[in-house]
Amino acid sequence: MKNLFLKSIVASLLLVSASFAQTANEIAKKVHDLPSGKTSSYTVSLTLIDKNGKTRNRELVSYFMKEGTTEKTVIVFKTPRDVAGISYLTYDYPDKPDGSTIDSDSWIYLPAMKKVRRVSGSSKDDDFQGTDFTYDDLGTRSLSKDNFALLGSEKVNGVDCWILEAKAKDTKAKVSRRVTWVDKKTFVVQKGEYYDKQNRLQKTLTCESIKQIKGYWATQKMTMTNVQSNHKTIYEIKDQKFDEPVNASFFTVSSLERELVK
Amino acid sequence: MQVSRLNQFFGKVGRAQIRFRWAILAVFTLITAICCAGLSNFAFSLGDEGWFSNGDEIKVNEKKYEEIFGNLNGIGVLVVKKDSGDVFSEEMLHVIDKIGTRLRNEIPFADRLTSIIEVDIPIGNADGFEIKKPYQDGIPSDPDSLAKAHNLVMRGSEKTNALINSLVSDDGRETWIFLSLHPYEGKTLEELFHGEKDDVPLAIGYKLMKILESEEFKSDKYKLYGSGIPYDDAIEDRYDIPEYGTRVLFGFFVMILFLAIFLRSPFGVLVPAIATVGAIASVFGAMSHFGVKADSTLISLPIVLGMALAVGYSVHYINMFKLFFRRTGNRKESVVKSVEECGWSVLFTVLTTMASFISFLFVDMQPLSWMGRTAALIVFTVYLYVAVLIPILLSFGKDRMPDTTNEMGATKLDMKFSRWAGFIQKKKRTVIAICSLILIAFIPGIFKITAQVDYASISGSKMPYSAAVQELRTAKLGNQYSYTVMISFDEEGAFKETKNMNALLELEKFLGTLSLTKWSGGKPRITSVTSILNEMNSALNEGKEEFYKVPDEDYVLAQLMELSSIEMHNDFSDVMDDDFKTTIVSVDMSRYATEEAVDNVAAIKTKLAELFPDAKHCLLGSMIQYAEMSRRIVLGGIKSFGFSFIIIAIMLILAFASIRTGFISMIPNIAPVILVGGVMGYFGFALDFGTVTVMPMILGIAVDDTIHMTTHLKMGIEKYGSYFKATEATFREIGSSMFLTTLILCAMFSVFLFSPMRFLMIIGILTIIGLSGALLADYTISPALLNVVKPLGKEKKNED
Repeated sequence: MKNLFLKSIVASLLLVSASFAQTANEIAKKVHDLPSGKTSSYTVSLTLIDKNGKTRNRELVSYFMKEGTTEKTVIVFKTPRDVAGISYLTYDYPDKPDGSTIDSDSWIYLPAMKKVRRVSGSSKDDDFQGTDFTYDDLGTRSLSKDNFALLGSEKVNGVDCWILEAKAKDTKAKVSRRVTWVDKKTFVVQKGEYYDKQNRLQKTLTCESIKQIKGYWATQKMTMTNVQSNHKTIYEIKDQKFDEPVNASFFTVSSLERELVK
Repeated sequence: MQVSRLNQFFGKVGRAQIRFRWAILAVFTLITAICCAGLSNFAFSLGDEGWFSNGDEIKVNEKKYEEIFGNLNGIGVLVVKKDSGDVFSEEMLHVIDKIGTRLRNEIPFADRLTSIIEVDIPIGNADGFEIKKPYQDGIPSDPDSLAKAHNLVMRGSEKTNALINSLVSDDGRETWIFLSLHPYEGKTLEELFHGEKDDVPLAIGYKLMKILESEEFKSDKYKLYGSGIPYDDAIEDRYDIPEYGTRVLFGFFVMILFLAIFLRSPFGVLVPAIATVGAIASVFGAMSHFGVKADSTLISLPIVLGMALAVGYSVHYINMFKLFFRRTGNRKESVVKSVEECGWSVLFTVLTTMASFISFLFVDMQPLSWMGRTAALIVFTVYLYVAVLIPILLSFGKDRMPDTTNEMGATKLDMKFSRWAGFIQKKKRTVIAICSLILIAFIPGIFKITAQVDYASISGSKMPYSAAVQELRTAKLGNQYSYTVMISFDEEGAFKETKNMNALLELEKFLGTLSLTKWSGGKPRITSVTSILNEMNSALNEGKEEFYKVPDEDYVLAQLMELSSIEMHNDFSDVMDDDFKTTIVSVDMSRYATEEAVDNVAAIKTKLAELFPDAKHCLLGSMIQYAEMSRRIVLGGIKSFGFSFIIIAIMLILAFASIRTGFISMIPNIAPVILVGGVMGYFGFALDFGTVTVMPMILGIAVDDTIHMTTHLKMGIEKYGSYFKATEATFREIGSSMFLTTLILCAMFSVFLFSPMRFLMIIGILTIIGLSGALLADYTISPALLNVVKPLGKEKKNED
């Protein structure tokens, strides 16, 4: 009788862990596939705060358009004065059927040189515009790059969340482990913790002003704090619009060169 | 001050010691146990820790630097290919990759890794530009891909490629792996080091050592050299501290040997040995109770000195006891008499020796003031233990019949000393003339003394790591010393202006011309924002060589700076702050030479004032620290010697109640100092944080014998009324003691003579020269002078 009881506990534990393993991948996919509209535009205010509390601000506008499976983004710096007009155009492509990634195409326009230059080689692991965010943190990281596990559930700011762990398959990745708290209902990330190669907490992410705009979930304010360097970046989105017409010519090299994107 | 009254007081002390001997022993045991309990908190300070206080300009500038640019310290590994080929072979690349991975994964506070595998290279072409990692897709196996990656890293020449002769040598046989470190703060500090910042560098250094010495990196095909302050700290901890320990251990054996010779019984050796060890351990234990860290470099000096003085003080008591014991046969009464006779003069010598060490408190360098404080405490505690415990020890035992063969209780040797005193006094003017001539010959040497405080000069060439340090220094890419120039404007964006950037370029050109700047190939080893701007400008202009320069238009420069801060964020933020108003220029040095360094620093400061009149500027790094340390060592040496001279003179004047006697007593003690100074100058023994202690120490110790001699002489004059007879009596009574104490001190300091650590060996030589010189002066110039000047009052009747 006792033996049977033990066996049933072990069996149910195995079942639970198996279902967790399956659920972790499913949750990760749902987070990854959250709809973001065919087009969008918004203004980003970046506030960089150093360990002494000194702040610097940058403002940029961003336009986004989905053309087939290609995601096109234009970013134009508005402030500070010396970077105003510097623009980036990026084409992101979906993963190949075998799960491998395809490199993005990027161009940069420098008003001082009046030239568009093709930029390549930036890794998704790299910092986004010198902030505490990486391109991966702000975009949708390829699912094939991580192994997922579900660590449990917990309430964050009154929201019931899954605790989802993503361990990087690449042993050289700068961030070896990401733990995110995912809203069980909406699959929007509520907060995150990022660990370095020595599995020490490196960065924490807090998400605020999460709201639905035209049926799309949007996080309006994200704060990434590097706990190792005590540097912080606040990423605030204003005037976010979804599925409104965006000039398709913005997403071309020539419009960068002619400074058409404002 | 009447000696007889003081002696009476010490006689009472001696009686009390015997009456309460068991209680005193119990109290001493208890105090020793309490103090020694503190040894569980004993810790060393390493490297430059403690050399500068937080208020020092150097520390203030370092703090400013760290607020903007993060941790000033990093670690590096120089990989040098030994056999044929270069570092771009598949095998070598895997080695470099593995080292990098282990550094990143195992070193606490690891931040950013830079190596030929990890480096970002901006490449310009007709389409645009690309930030490439040469081994982005892993290390290839096929020769074509290997050659392609090699060509990418080594593209162009050293003039158009910032990596050549900086990260990798132009022949491809040497390359650096650098790891920058996060500031030592935050969670890692709490979790791994319980918040103790001071423990971090040593732990990092040992980790690096462990990685470099691991089996997987043992090969004849290449050699690895560790570098960086944490690594130096670990080297110091692994090799230097045991070396200081060995010297202390040798010192202990010498002490035991002398105790065995003089006391000739196991009990007699054991008790003073335990008393000495107890006294020294109590001082370190008590200091540890108060959280005072011991200076690793200087620790052996106060310990060896403490042991030497312990034996010396014991000899005075024991010899005096023997003298009376032979005469009276009454043990307890002889003990009382020995305390009565020795008490005041030994205490006085203790006070003067302490004064010479207290003089180091006036030196603006914590390790030296630590040494002074510790040595003074050890001298006093050792005295206390010896003066209390030795008489008690001697009081145990039976009385015996008096030895009537010599009524004075003097031995044959004592009588020889007595005759020597007579001879010297007869030839007094000749003796004074010869001694003066010898001293005059040594004086010019004093003015040749230089200061040399860099690690290589101090450790010399015989330590286990010396060869590796030398190889690292002479390698094409290697260097041991460097410095950083930090320039800071008040207004934001100042470095986006071409006039300030041009000034920076001119400064770099100037730094390249300085004598101590290291050159690799045809390029000075200078790192600054300009190399990033050169690379970026060239990359944005199709990789053309003519654009490998800093733009000369304000708007273009400003935008290039902003772009570089975004695209090359990590590299850029290492050399320029976020507001573009503070920048740094790092310079590697080929070697270190004190005077050249001081000259270079002065020249840099002048140039900075000329090029950046509206900016604040400062210098940081090992060269600046060494140059400042040299300055303080010289100044501190003069100050501490001056202080100990004045305080000892005052003490002598007070003790003998005569300015004349005080000053005359100082003369024979200046002689060994002149001797030591002359030897230092003539033989090129530079002042460093070890040798700077020798002169005040010699003065403090040498004066001991003068005090004994003058005290006995004073008593002799009171008794005989004649300088001649009093001097003879003095030499008979303490001539052999003086010889023995000097012999013991020299023997103790001789343990340093065979040290592979150069500065310890020099301390050994100088101390032995100084102490021997002091003894010779006491045997020659002192009696001659005293006889000529007659400072202790008039004679009662004519001599001769």
